[in-house]
Amino acid sequence: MTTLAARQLRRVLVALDPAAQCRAALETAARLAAEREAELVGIFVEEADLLQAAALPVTQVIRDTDFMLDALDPSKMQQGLRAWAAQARAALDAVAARWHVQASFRVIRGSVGEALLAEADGYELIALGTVSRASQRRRFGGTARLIARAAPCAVLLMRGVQQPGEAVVVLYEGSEQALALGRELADLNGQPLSVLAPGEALAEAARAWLAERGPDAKVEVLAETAAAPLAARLGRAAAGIVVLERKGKLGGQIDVEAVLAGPASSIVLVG
Amino acid sequence: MTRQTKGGAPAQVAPKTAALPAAALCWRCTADQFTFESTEELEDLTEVIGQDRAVEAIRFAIGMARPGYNVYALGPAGTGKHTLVRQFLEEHAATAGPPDDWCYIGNFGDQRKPTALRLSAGRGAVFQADMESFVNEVRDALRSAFESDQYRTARQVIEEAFKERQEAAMGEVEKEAEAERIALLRTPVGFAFAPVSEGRVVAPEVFQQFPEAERQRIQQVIEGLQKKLQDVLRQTPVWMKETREKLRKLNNETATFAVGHLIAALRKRYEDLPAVLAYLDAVNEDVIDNVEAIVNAPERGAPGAAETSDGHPLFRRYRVNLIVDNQGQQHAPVIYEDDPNYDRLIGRVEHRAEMGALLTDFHLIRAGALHRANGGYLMLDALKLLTKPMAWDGLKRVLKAREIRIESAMQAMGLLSTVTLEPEPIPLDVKVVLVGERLLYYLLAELDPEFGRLFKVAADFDERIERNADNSLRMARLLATMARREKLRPFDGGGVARALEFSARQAGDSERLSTMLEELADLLREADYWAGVNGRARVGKDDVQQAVDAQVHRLDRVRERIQEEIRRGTIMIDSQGRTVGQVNGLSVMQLGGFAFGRPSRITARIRLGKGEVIDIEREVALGGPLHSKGVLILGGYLSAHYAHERPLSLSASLVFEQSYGGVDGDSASSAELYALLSAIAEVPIDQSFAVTGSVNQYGQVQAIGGVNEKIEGFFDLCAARGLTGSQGVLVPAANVKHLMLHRRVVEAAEAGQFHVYPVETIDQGIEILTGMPAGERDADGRFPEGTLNHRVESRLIDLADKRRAFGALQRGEGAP
Repeated sequence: MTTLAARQLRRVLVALDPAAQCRAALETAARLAAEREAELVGIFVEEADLLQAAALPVTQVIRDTDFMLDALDPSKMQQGLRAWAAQARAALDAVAARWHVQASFRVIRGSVGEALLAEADGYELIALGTVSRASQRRRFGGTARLIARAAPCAVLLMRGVQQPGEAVVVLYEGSEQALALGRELADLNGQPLSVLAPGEALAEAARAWLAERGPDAKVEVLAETAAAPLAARLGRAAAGIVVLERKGKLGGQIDVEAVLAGPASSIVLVG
Repeated sequence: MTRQTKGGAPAQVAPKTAALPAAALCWRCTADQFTFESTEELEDLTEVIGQDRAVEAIRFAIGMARPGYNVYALGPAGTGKHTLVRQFLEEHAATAGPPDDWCYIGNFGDQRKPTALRLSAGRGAVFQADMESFVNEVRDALRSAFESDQYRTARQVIEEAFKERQEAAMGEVEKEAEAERIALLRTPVGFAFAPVSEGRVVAPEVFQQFPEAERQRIQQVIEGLQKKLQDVLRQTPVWMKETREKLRKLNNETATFAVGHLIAALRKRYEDLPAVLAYLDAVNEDVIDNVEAIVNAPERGAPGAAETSDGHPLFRRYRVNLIVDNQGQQHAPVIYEDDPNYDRLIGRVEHRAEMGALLTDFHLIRAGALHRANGGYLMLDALKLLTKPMAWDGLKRVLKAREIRIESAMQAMGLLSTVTLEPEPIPLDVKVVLVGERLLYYLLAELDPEFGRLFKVAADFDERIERNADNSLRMARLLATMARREKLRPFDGGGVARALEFSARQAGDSERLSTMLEELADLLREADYWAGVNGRARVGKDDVQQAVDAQVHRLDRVRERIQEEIRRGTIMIDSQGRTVGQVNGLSVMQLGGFAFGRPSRITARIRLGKGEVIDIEREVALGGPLHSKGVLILGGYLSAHYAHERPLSLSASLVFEQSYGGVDGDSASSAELYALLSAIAEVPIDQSFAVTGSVNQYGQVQAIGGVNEKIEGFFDLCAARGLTGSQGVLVPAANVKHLMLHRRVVEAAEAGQFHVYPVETIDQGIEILTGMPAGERDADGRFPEGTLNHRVESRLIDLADKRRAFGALQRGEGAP
């Protein structure tokens, strides 16, 4: 498994999707790549289910424009997916040009989560946007859960754009990678950094690490470590980005979707 | 060359009319007429000299607070109109308080029509500063409010409610679909339902293997789901609208709270001004309406901040354009607009270029002189006003309407269709004083029917006053005042006396003094200069004389050239000898501000004719109407005075020799008559004389203008050639009081070298010129033999007889 450590970010994969949340993930991934001089690879997945559905005789589409029914066929679906892919590429090119990042773009076909996992080897970070609309939760929510659970590298899930003043909160269970990435993300948007540690020893270690490398951060010891209230606590505290250690005792238990359902707009899983 | 006497020399007799004594040729003012040694002893003159009529008119107009009682101060330039009018206006303005301030503020309902706002003097600037502070604070106040946790939470609650509502509705459909093993899919063109199996959409070939009943069931289920989803989606815009309304309400409440204390503080400061309170309410409402734009407006200087030099357009609309600021003013304004063009008078709306387009807003409204003078007095130069396009019409429009409506000249002419501002008119209460020449006043009164209604008061300035001891002393005090004000050396009695003589000469009348104060002031300054050059502590009569002479010398190049050419014989003027039908006339040339006399030879030739006197000047269109009138009078005089029982049977021609420019005025008509009589009688005229004066049909010699310059013109010629002692000038007796001749003429007269004869009738004049008695009709109605009139009449009778004989010959009747 590839680990993300300072100066070791070489390739970043970003899942491209027409949703606005994808733009936030793309922007953050590009800025991280620019900071570390890493390569950015954008992947657009032509979802196989959509092509299958278009070929079914019972499937019609409710048009976005007027909510009227329209016939659907594979060629029309293919055209639509190509249009999405073109938009995704344009967005990638624009962001890469803005941050002077070396970027490439690929289109693959399959189930989004599985296709991304299949591509994930060789990357230090996968970034993707996630949405909260019920209608899309099945597709992307499932994807986010799958990636969060099974990705062989760090994962950045973004639900929205970071706002100034929102904190980056690291749930520190001993991973320097979590602290490093938290600090990096806080720097990107000038956000305050906050560290929660389950125990005084870890809190002290975090303070020492931060004292050496900066910046000033608030380090607190967690009193409550049960998964559900901890998820709620993170949501309340963060209102921004939460960094979890996937293999940590606490981080591994936390329901990502439960955190994202709160005020926090993004989550990072490391380790 | 001169034409010599025909018919023998007439008997020479001494003329009945005596030359004027030297003392009559000029009023001499001497230091001993004054009781002071120098102007240092004299008090300042505070009253106005000789302008009682004008002063009364101005006082009346100032006191007459009715529309249309504006003033036209008329009179020649240099009479001190401007100074006097301004002095009176300022005196009166000092008794009144300063007028109100005026601002233009944004009209949020119709930005094309900015609102005019009136505040008491000094409060305009305060209000402007208050609104500037408001603008500086409002964005921060709103941002603080909109970035607060309370606002974010409230907003999130609303947005989440919408999302939850939408998600709940869609989730219901989705849940129903899941129960039927149907998936809701987001496709590039919209939503679609498809049957699923094990989390994947059923492949088409698998679906085809489903039993027909199952396929139909799935289709029916999907159709039902589609209908439900359509209903949900159609509801979404309604929910969005409701959400927007809620957000707007939240924004309004937040903004009201944030801005409320700012507005409340302002309202308290201006609670006595309903118009300001109404404006503040409008501002409050506008801020709330535009709260999102204000909060999201880029910081000054940030990229994308489309700012003008005065700040972001969103905030400019709340700033105040103070166009009339009377802060610090103690009195009503007295404004003199030196360049009264349309815009400077009425005000204007400026534009700024932005991306190739011309844009404007109410901050670019600029006040005109009328705004600044509102509540006080406005002085304008009439000629400047009338020569500026549209300015006169603009002024009249404003005075008639009694309000200042700012619109461009093009708008006023109806030639502009571009959308621009229409600022609310401002009520006008101003007294306008036009200062200008009399001619302009009379032309306006004649040609512009509105003039009389808008300028009901004429303040007529006189250019001269009676010379008496009282006025002479007041002039001396005025002179002392001017000298002190201008920091000149004091004038001694002789200097003052000489200056008063100058004043009388400027008036062209020994019994009057000129009120052309500008010329007098110039003389004082120049005399002071010469006193300095001469190393004197006080300005004396010699310094004043030097100033006068220097003024003349600077301007008399043309006069010198003409005199020179006469002496060289290029221009033929005799100053001695006797010639028939020829007389020296005198004309005045005015070049700029300098006038001088020029002798001209006038000749007359006669022959048998039909009784016409031909004015050659008129024939060639060089004679003006007054000159022609004078010549025609001669015919009347001849017909009535001589042989009135016979037809006038001569044809006479009269000409100004070597005159190549126009001739006008009738001052040479007596000279022309003398030449004519000489030609008819064939009696020579003494060329030692020059003549001026007009004549009527009864042979009476009438007054003319420029008598001093004319006499000096002939004197200078004679003096240059050498005075013979017999030379002189015949002037109308009515002009004697106007004599203010130069010292050199007076001194020659005192020495008997030059003479000025006052003449009342042609008979008196012809006797002097010919040395022959004129003669009066005796009891038989005949002129005595040996008189000039007898010779004239005899010649006319002879001509009449010849004409009759000639006529008979033509008709074939033979010799009579």
